[in-house]
Amino acid sequence: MAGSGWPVLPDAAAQRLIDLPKRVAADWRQVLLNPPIADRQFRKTRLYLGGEEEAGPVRGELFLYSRLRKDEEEPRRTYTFGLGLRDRVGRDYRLLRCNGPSHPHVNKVEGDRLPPVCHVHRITERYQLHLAHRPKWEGDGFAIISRPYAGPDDALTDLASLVNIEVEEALFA
Amino acid sequence: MTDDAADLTQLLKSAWCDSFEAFPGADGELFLSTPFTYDDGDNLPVVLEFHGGTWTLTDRGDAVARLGYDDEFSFTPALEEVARRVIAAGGHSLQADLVISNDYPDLPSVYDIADFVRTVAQVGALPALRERQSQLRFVEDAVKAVSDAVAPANQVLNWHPEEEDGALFKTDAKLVTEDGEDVYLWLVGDSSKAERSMTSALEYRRWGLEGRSMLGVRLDSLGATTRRRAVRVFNDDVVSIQPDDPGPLIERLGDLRIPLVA
Repeated sequence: MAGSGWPVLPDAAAQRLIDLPKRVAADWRQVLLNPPIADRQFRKTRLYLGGEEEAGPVRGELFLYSRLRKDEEEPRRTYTFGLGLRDRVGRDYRLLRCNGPSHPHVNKVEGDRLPPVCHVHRITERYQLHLAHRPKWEGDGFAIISRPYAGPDDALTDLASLVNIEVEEALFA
Repeated sequence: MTDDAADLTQLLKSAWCDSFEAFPGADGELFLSTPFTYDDGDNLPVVLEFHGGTWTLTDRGDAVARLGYDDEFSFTPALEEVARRVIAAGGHSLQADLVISNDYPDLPSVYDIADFVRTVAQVGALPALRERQSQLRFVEDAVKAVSDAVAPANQVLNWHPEEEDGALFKTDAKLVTEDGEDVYLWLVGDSSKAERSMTSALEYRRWGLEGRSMLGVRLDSLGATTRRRAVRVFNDDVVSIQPDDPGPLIERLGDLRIPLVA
């Protein structure tokens, strides 16, 4: 148990959740690329995947999520597509996310800096523990440079590959 | 000890300076990477642009946008007003598209950049004001209830006298009765707003503004002393209202012959 009261998700458990095949409806890309929820700056949504997963001390439901800046000019740079787990008491663990090149990033534990290029965040035990003194923390502070995305659609393709998304065949196709 | 201080100074200088970097962007802008980061390692957003002979520091809207990462957080108009004040206090401005920026005739100094980062960081602290936010929401809801209930021709929201620019002595609504009497209404959900309301009401009197000053207040948000003072300043024209129940206030406005919509 971390100081914040959030159970730490072990690396192996997180990786199992990331690797788990995820069945999604045929329109999943459409939903994540055109999120129905909008505030003044962003559009965002979540796609809950159903069922309950057990990962070490954490149990909850997996979800895919997206956040894109509204009305951004091409080339679009400000977007996030990710996989998360909402636990039984409503805490969100962000497991993995693909970010556009809108900002620099720092891996605070290692001290290395990423320029404003496309990058992928991953939850790790060491980052969860690094911030465990906080009442609410982000355990996915570690990121690596990804291949450059051509845009949101391309980033979503990378997410699909990284988190093992399988599209359900339409029943009566 | 002196040697230790010198060593530490050297260590900090080296590590601190190493933690700054400017990354060129695709459009000629510079993304400034600093040791100031969010919990997820993303830098507090500081981008330096140069257009038409002017340098601009901007967060490109990311400071406010990050608040929306928390699904439970709502950037209400009242909270936007708080953000605007915080940002203005830092000497910067919040644009209509929620971008924080500041223009400089010369390349901003390290202190300009540090001030900008500080302001961005302060905006990041707004979620910690959730309790304050609930008070602001209470006021927003009460203002909306009044606005919905009173005939449009008989209300001016966020009114302030010509004697000042509205920064200090604004009332939530100026209402006009059927007899043409002005009613200055303040809606209050915390002691700080109560104090400002009392100061404003007293200033209105000092300026000789005719009309009635009235307070709609969530009484349990005020200490006993503030309550007593409010009753005196507002000559008993204090109406207790509860969240989600503006009924007594609207009833009182009707009693004062302020035209209500059906």
